[in-house]
Amino acid sequence: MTKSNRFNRAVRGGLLGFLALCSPGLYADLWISPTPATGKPMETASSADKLLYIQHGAYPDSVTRQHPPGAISESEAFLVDPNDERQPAQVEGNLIRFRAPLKGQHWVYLQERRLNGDTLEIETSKYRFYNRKGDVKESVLKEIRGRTNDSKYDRPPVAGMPLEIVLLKPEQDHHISCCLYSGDRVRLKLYLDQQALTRTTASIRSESGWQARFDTDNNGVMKFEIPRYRYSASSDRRKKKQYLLITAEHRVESAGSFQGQPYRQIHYRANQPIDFRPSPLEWAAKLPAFLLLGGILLITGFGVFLYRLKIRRRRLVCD
Amino acid sequence: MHNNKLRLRDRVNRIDLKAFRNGFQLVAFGLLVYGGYIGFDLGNKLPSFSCVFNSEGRGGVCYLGILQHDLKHPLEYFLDFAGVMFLISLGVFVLWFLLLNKAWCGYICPLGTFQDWITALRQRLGIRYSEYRWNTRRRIQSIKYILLALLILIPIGISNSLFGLGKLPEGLSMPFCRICPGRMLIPLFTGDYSQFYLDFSSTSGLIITSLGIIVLGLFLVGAFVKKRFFCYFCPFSALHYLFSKAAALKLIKEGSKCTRCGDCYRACDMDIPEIADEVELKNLVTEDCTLCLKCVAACPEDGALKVTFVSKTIFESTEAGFNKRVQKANADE
Repeated sequence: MTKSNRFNRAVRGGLLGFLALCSPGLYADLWISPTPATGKPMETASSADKLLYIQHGAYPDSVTRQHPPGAISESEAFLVDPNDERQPAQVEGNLIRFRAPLKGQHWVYLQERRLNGDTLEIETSKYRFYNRKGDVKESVLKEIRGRTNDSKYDRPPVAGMPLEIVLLKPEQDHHISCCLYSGDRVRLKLYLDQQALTRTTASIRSESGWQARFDTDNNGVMKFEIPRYRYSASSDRRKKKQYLLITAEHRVESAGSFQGQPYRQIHYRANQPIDFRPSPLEWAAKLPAFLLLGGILLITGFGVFLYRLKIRRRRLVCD
Repeated sequence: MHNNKLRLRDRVNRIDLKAFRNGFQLVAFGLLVYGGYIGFDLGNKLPSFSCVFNSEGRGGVCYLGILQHDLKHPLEYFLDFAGVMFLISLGVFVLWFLLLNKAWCGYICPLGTFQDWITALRQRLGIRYSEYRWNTRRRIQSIKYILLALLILIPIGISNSLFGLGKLPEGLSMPFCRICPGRMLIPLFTGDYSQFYLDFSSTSGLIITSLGIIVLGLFLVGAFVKKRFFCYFCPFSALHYLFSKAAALKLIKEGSKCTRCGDCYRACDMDIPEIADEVELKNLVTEDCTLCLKCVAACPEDGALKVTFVSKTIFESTEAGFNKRVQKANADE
């Protein structure tokens, strides 16, 4: 990173942090991340007690979140384990603590509610993480079963998450479907109270600064293509994981009360970070592969033909 | 009751094995290649090629991919949780395998079925088939063990420094999958030809994907001129053989009833000499055997060859069965 980039980033982060703290009316992003805003993440890989970090700010720059004094708010988190069972999670400041004894895909859900004037702000975030190391006793059945068809996509919306972004099976062009790659066409479905949310706009922002807005169709589905990676001379960067944040918002006129305080409308906002890698196919070429295959077929086929001809002639001479 | 049992066994022994096997292979191929579309899933430790790269349609996944994945861990992690998971995976694979022994190759493997279809095409075209010389055959038998050793050692070498050498490049991960013809051919049946590519991202990637294309070319030409060409080199076959003696399904020869007519050898796709030469009572599932049972169907002697499942005979050679199959073959011609 160049000096000017570092300076720009610091100024931008500082400004956003200041705005996020001073003006509760400005909507900063809230997302879950495996790393803290600053410093190194705590080591939890070898333990079933896991830790994720709540990030707050303008994606991808985050600041330490602080609730304004006297703000009426509450946070709630839970996770869904590889057996599709709901497990509790604790929100402690910017940390989400939970136990994950099973090996495999886990989904962590966070919901924050706060009152902003006459509007109830409900902000949700969801994060998928793969627990590589589980408790052996707990993981045996899963390992024996060896689920092969994806559990990562098309998961039904969970109760308790008012606005949820669900990843549908992407339109992929390659490889094992465990991961997303640049160039994949991601499909999303938005749900409000477990019902498809149609004609809503969602925004997508990448760490590298790419952003776009897309509308859901009549089924609540929207599609976008992960921007293709730029060719890089460095082989390290060809494997580097990148992140996108998908954000959807919805506002409804609905009166009620929150912790004894009245509100007249609800503003839902859902954030979901997803990761992707540069597609190996960006350095892959099909035409040379087909040409090579054609060459091999011709050479070996002709070789076999000549060999058989030679044997036949030899036999004829012997006869 | 006893009569009914005898009648059933008699009917089984007279079965048109060719039609039965064709049908069985077709169903197995359909389930393993397209089963995913209907939610069919046999897990990821199958003892036959069912390609993980067939992401939409697969009805199960080949264990070789999981084996390479499980071995690609740093030693300290492997000695801990990953090692236990490896043993569980291996255990599940062995259980699947013990059930059907090498019949996984002869009746279920989609790559084997595809080779049989190529053979059928060649027969239709009236092109003769090739046979290896015995010396050549003996020499190539070791290739599958070398491939098995490499597919075990390379993933280990990516995460660990072996024999004091440096770590191998990441581009070599899943080494056998990269050169396996199934990676390109099986997804092709679902209309996905994306696996046909050369990877220019690294030298190791380019070498291994080029090698994959070369192996595919050799596979296609080889399968056209030689029955079950790839099965001679298949590392799965080598892995199977390690557990074969303990399997429930066995091919038994009763040497005293054998007249050494050689029909079984001529029927064998894998040119296994022991099937005709062996005169002792013996389990004849050799390293190259695919348990296709063509030898049993081709044997005219009562009880000389039989297939047992947990020591219970389920199919055996009979003169009546042989005659019926010959009549059927003559009628077809």
